Amino acid sequence: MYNIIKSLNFTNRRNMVIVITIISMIVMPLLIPTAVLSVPFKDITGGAYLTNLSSELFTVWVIAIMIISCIVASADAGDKTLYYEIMAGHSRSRIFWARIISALAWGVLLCAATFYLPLVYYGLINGWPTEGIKISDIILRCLLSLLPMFRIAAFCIMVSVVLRSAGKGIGFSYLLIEVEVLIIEILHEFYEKLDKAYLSGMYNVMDLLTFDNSRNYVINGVKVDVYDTAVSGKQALMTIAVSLIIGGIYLTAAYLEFTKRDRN
Amino acid sequence: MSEYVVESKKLTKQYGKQLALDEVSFGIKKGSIVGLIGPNGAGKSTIMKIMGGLVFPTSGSLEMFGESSEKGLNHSRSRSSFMIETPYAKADMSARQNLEKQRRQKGIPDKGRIDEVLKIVKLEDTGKKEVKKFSLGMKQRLGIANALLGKPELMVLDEPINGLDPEGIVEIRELLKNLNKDEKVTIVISSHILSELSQLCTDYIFINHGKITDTLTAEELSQECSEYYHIDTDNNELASSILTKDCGINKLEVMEDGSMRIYEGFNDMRRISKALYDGGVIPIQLARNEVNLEDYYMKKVQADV
Repeated sequence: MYNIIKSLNFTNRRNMVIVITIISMIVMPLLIPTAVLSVPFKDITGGAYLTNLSSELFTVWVIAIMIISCIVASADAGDKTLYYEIMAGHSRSRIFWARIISALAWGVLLCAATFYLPLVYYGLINGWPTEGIKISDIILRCLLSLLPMFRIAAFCIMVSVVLRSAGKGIGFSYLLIEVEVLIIEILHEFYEKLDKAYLSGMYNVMDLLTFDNSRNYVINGVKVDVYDTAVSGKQALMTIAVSLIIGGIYLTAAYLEFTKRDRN
Repeated sequence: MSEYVVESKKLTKQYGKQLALDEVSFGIKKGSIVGLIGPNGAGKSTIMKIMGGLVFPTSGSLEMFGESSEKGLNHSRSRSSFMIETPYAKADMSARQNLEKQRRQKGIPDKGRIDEVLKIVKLEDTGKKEVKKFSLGMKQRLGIANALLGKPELMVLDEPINGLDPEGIVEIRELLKNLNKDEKVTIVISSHILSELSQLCTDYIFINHGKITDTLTAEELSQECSEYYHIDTDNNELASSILTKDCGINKLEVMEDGSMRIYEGFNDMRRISKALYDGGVIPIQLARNEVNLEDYYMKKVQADV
């Protein structure tokens, strides 16, 4: 399995689409807030990026997760170089799990790292003045957000494995996630009490990056934003349980497809 | 221990209602070069894909290097190399990068092996040229380089000389011959260029409609491929009558175009020519030939039809 991961890493580092996606993810948090959202650069503190901008930017990161996880999991199926792994005597099970480990490492951990990287550089450049933000809460939210990201990646991996193509996987994943969001929004229109946070991985991440019970105070003539960053027990438990169960179902379906069907 | 490197028993593969392989049983001896011969869709690639683990058989068994369990077969595959259908490669990577990917995947510690195989297939000067810019022949060479990378004991090659120029065909033929002779590599090969197979193979398996129609060794083929005289005249009907009645030729075959083949009387051709001439028949062509693998194959296919 380790040999397959090494071989995948060798290919991924040379894949221009992956390289461009990663560079874009590093550059975008610097450009989007000022160029698209018209937020003055000096106002983007580490805390402001987290509390005001990250949930909006995450919709772009979903696409990055889609692209990278589909390519890592299924690009070799598209050009059939995957056959060499089977014909070299690796069991299909090992080939599958090697791809999953690699796809999750590149598609979730790397994407998450680039997503949270602006916290560090905006914090270093413009400071971290927002009141009420506890670092321990932020770390917990960041770690919890990895789980719905895993759920999104697992879904994209499943689609690309079934379609045996990274390109088709990216296209159909995007389409299906858009349809999912549309259905959730329609349902929410009819049932306002419906908690949509756990119906989609994307909403789950955005929920973790949204800070309720926030208040604005003017103290000595200075406007101060005070945030409640605490994560509720229900929020944490539901995120863990739903993400692992749904993501597990997606990966099981992908596993069955990968290991049981002929490769023609 | 079995004398066979690969042995199948009643191997069957069904795709929906289509029977691709119908209880195919065969054995491939260690050190042999076996030609899989059959028309398109006969089942050659399906056999190779089952050997490579790409396709699961519907029923029957396959044994490689004496192992038949899934784990055992996977271990056997690690001692083998396969080039099935087209040689697959990463189009935007160079030949060296493609081989490096496969070297890592196969866990081959010797990095120098890549240079060795690139030199063997004469792709050492391709540098950073991407595979998508390669000709079909170059891609074929890369596929063969990939197959050689792990120093296999068994090579399964589907149409390995497809797209190669005449010089390349000779080189690959000699390479395979040498591998078989010097390294004792067992080779299973399919090709539509039967004249090439006849110069290479020690054994033949004929397959059609998913069934093995014949198996024979090169010696048996040479016995089947007897010599003959090809006779074409201005009046083949009369010539045929003269040959059988006046010359006593019993082994005579009339071809589709009316010309004839006789399989006896080689030392009596002067008398036969004179008999034809005296009978009012003018020979247009009188040539000594040999039935080759192509003729044998065509006979087999026609017999199946």
